[in-house]
Amino acid sequence: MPNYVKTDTYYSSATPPGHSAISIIRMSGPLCLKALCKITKKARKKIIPRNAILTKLYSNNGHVIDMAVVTYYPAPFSYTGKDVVEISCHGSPVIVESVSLSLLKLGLRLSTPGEFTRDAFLNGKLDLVQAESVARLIQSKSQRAAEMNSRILQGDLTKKLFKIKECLVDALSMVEFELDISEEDIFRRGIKKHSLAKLKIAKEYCGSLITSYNEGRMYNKGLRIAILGRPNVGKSTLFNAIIERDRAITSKEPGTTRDTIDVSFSIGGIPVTLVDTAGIRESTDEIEKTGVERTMSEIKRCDLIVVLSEADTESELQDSFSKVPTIKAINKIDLLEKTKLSKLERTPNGQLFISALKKTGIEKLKDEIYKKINFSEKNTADVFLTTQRQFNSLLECGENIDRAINLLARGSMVFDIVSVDIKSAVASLDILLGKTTADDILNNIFENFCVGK
Amino acid sequence: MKQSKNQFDIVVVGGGHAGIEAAHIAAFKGSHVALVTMDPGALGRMSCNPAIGGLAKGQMVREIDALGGLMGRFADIAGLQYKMLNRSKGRSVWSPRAQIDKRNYEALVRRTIISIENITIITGEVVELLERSSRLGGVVLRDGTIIICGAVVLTCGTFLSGIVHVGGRKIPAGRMGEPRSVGITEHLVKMGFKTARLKTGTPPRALCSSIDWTKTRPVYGDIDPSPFSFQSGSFNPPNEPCYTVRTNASVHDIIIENIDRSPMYSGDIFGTGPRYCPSIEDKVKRFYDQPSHLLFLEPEWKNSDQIYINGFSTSLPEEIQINSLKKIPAFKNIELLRPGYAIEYDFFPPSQLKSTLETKDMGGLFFAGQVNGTSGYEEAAAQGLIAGINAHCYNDDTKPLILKRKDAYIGVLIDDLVTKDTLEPYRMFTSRAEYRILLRYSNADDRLFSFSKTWGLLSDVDISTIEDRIKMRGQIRDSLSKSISLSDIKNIHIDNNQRGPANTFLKRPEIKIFDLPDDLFSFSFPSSIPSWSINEVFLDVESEIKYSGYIKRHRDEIEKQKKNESLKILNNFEYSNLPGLSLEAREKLTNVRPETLGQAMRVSGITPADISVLMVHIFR
Repeated sequence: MPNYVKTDTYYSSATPPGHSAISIIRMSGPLCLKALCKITKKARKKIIPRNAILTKLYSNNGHVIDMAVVTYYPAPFSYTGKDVVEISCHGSPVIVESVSLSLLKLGLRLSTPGEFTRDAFLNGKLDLVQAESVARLIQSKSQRAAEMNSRILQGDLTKKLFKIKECLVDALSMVEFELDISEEDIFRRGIKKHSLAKLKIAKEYCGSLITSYNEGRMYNKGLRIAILGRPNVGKSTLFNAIIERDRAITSKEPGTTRDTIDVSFSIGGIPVTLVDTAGIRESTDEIEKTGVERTMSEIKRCDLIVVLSEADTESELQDSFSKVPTIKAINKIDLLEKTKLSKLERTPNGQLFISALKKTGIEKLKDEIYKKINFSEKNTADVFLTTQRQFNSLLECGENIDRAINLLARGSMVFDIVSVDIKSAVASLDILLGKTTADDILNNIFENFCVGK
Repeated sequence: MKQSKNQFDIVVVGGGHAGIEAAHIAAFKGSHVALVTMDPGALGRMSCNPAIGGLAKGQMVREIDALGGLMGRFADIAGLQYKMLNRSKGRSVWSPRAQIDKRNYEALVRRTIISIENITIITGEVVELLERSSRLGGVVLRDGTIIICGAVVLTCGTFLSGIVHVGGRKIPAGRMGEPRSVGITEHLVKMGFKTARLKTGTPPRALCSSIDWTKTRPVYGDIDPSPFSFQSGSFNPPNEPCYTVRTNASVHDIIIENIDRSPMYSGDIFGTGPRYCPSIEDKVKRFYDQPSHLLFLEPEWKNSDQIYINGFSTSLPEEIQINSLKKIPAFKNIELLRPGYAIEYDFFPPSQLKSTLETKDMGGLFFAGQVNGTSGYEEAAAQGLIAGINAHCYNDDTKPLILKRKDAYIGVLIDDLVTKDTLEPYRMFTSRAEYRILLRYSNADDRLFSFSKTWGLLSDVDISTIEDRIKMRGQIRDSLSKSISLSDIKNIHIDNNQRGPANTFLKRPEIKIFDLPDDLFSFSFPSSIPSWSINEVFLDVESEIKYSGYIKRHRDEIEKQKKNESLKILNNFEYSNLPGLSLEAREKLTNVRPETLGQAMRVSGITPADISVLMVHIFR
């Protein structure tokens, strides 16, 4: 187990390495103030807490390193709950390096990954769910994800989880009352009804959080969209049209694309990975066969599929992947007779009509993609699950609630077992709320942090 | 140690339920025991309700019995009626309870204790402990007598600075009519032990002939009673009824009018009372929307002239008690032999104890029973038993007996005592046991047998009785793995010849073990096993199978927690300067001084963050 709670003082660059307007170096621990006085050559009383102070920074041999703004946050009113100092210097690797060197010589050490947030957690500044979302916030790929994670950081998810827990605890109390206090052998109907009602509310909250997971994950990890279809329907041409550059090789030859190609870009603020695939057909060519296999496995990984076909050969493909949300598009409308096209457009049957080559209908397709993936209008929860761990816990919680509901609804009198199920449901929440967590879970979370936070 | 007039291995202070169990088991294990009591006539007295067992307590009595204790055996002889509580609510919470003939029970205790050669009963009062290099060396009685010993088990219950309240009257006393002890508390405080104050109450006792019994409703026990002791053979106790009456609005009115004369409401009582056993004042005031409360009239012994009015615990003045009771038709002419009263007493917050019940700061000094803030005969007896065993082990310098939470309610009891704040008298509840499904009354023999054998707590006869039961359990389990046809199962109307192991079918809720074909169990039961016991083991094996999924969940959880339970923390570990530990955690941990990380996790107010900090500092 890493030896992470140190009495010593650590620092790290809080901004990414490289050239930038400013770089921030942050330190935390009891030596902060002393170190700050040393490198600014200022007296302690000149350092006013929580005030931005413009000052020169000096190296250990007295040379001026830079002009910087420093701020001192005394414990416990700081991010980590210990003394914290932030130095905003000019964003040059050379300057950052010199400041680091000075701090090292003053007895500070470089922080380990996630150490700032770890201390914030250990000092009760953040709960576990909040601590997790710090890492998420930093790694957020989209604006929406950032908002979502900052909401978790503010404790909204925690509040929601506590609400579920409250319902469960209420239901449990009623069951336990029957087992532990009432000596009557008749279970009062009112109590049974009320505990069932509480469990059902908990289940509902739990369910809405579980459905929010996919959306949450989408914002954080992004969305994978594949273009599928028979060979030579113009998948690669469409791929290039959507990403607005010639990434995939196109030709008139069917089966040009042998392997899947992907590119990341963004639609309406949501990170998207678009995948071009090999056309699906029976082939004897070994390479093409492998390509088709890859296409099939790609389907399983995707969140959305665009099935492309030509007007005369309505695709029969979609049945095999009906579980994945699908957009159907008819390509090469530029080759169709006007009358035929307008006839088709009158009976749309859910398809879009595009020409990848002439770039007609591409914006409509993007809109359709955005509509399909943007759940935000549907989900009023405003709170999302964003990590696998949260999802698993809620899933487990939900399963246990279901078991308890089933037992009670069936009229069973084995309340000792009903109680085990409700307690297990509470325990799965406790893992998230950080009440009963084991050290291995903790370490796991903190290992996912980048240096600085 | 050689026995001489004033020299013993162990001195047990107090002859209540904790004291007699401690003295008996230590003597059984070969210690020479002095039992010091102020009144040898009060040995094993049931000072409150005339019943033993009940929810969670019944399971504990079974455990006491499996560990060589006395309570179950005496209860089975002195029982007036038996009832299995929670019979419809899940097998793991079935709890046996019996109404007890108090006089008979006390007589049994007295006869047994007096007849034990290794126990010397000394009438007197311990006022001082003698210390020999932070180990216990002996005790001093009020008359100046010195008794030299290696260990002391202190079980003086409500006798510690007790004050009885009846209305505005305050009587310094132990239990009603018995002198209280002043001296030992002050001495222990001087030695550095912390005390706190608790309160409890008891209802009035009425004269039997003053009650109009025609206006009451009789309540009988089970027709197929279950005993407490595994050693009880064919079991055929009487089934004497209790009776019930209900309070009414007129009763409540009188209580409400006079509520400021109850010392709890007038502010005369500072101790904390038990929320699970509210006084009638509390019930009427807090649940004012309930038109009536049920009262149980329990005979205190067979043909008793003294009736215990269960459910009417009170500290109102005597005349108010009588006036309000008279509004109940059956009590129109009621006469009280003794009014209800509240009693305040000192206890020693048990966080000062190790899991062995030995004090953390003085080797050889053990506390058991109400001094530790518990309530109830069963809780007291369980602690007395463990303290007695461990006092013997202490003198012998052998491994003490520590039951874990997964092993027994007794394990839960002691672990709770040493880790949790005692804010009200501690009473056992089944929900305190996180592994409740494992801790059934009907498998106490099975789960505790290895302990009783290792620590030598049972006679050869007792061992063979339990071994027979365990063997039968194994045979039933084996038989259930045999294949049967679904259509052979009785009382189930399915025309289906599907075959499979009997235990698979038994998992279905609608199939009962006694519906399985008789020829499945082709072994013969030893004649030593009485029919109630055979029946019970069958049902217990059925529970094992029906609950197997849940049992597995419990076992998995136990396995997960094992590491934390085995990580030891030094007794003198310094929490006060530990960086990263919250102020509350420092205080709590310094106070409780948990023995393992598992215990630290259960100390109230300790967060996972505190635990992470602890792990880093203690186990790096």
